[in-house]
Amino acid sequence: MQCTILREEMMEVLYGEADADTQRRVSEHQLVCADCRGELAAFRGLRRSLDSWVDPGFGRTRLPRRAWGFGRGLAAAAAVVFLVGGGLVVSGSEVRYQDGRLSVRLGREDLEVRRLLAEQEARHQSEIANLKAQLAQYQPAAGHDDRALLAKVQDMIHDSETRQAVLLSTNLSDLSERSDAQRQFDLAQMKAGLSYLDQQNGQQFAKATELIGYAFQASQQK
Amino acid sequence: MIGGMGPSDDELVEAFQAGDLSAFDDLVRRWDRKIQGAIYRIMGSEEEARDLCQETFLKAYRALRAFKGEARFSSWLYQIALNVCRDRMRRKRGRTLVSLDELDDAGNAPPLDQGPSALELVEKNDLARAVAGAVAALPDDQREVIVLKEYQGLTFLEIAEVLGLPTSTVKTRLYRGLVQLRERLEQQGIRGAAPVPASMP
Repeated sequence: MQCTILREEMMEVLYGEADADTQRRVSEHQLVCADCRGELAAFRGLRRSLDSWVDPGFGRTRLPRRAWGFGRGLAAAAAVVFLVGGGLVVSGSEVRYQDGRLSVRLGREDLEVRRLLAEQEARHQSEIANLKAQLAQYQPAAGHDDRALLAKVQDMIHDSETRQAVLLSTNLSDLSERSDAQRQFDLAQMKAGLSYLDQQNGQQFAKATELIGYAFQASQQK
Repeated sequence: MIGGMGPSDDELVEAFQAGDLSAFDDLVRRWDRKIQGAIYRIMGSEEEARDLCQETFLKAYRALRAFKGEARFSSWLYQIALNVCRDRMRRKRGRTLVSLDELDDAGNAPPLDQGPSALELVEKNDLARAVAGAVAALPDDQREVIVLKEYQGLTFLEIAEVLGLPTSTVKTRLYRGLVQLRERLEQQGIRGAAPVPASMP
């Protein structure tokens, strides 16, 4: 069926993609086929109707940030740091690290606070000057004698030294007595030991003498 | 992109694959309106068009490093967009029961849509509303071809590349889709077209 074969070529003609040969074949067929001629015209009208459905006007597609990868995330972080740092500078804020402590001051320093601090500083300086003046005017009480005080201290030192000497002497004497007693005790023990040895030797000598005596008597009896 | 100033799609893809992530931004800027328009006409919802367009570009971003350039970047992008639309439609159909009363005379279900429909968005224009309804009622394969040809302006060869079909099949689907659209619009009293000949299938 020729119309069915021409269907594809009609689509090419309808959308302007037909080459010259196809264009010619379709045109020749339409001269003899009212149905195809009418259909092509209907499709052209339909296309005009389809044009009425327009896009609603889309905005740009926004992709989640995770899609952009680490590099972009890093760049974004750097931008945030830069903006925050710039904001601190512009706002007169201050970040300070001193004596192991981190302090952050947001915004410019208040002029009222600055004035109060200056007043307090001036008051402290005034109080210090007054105290210095009072110290310079200070005089010792009447009748006060440094020499008497020094003599008294020296006497106290002397008394202390004397007590220390007596105590040392006493300790030495005691130690001497204890040493002598120990020596006497040792000598007594040594004497007792020697006496025991002498006694032992005497008994052995007596026994030997007795044995000799028995041996002599025996030899005489023989 | 063919013609015009600036780098081509292939050059931007090459730059992206070499590590220039901003090249993808340029590709999005170049194609997002077209992709949104295609998805809008396939799904019939402006909200879904935005949502699925974003999903399309996210999928493209993840897959672009492996893109070999065997097809045009635009064809590849349309393929992703159509697959995203098909997935969404499958899910919607899986959880939507359509009563027999809702089917039209041809046995087609009404357009599947949860947000503001294309019909509602163009309610001030009867013709546009009728066209949106007629396109939405087309079978999926015919609607895809109609959208790519009529509203995206792709050539038959490009559509064949996107859909992975012979050009003859594309032309046949287009023809059938146009016939159905014409019938539906005439049923609604829109007389911009001549009557469908009785000898045509």
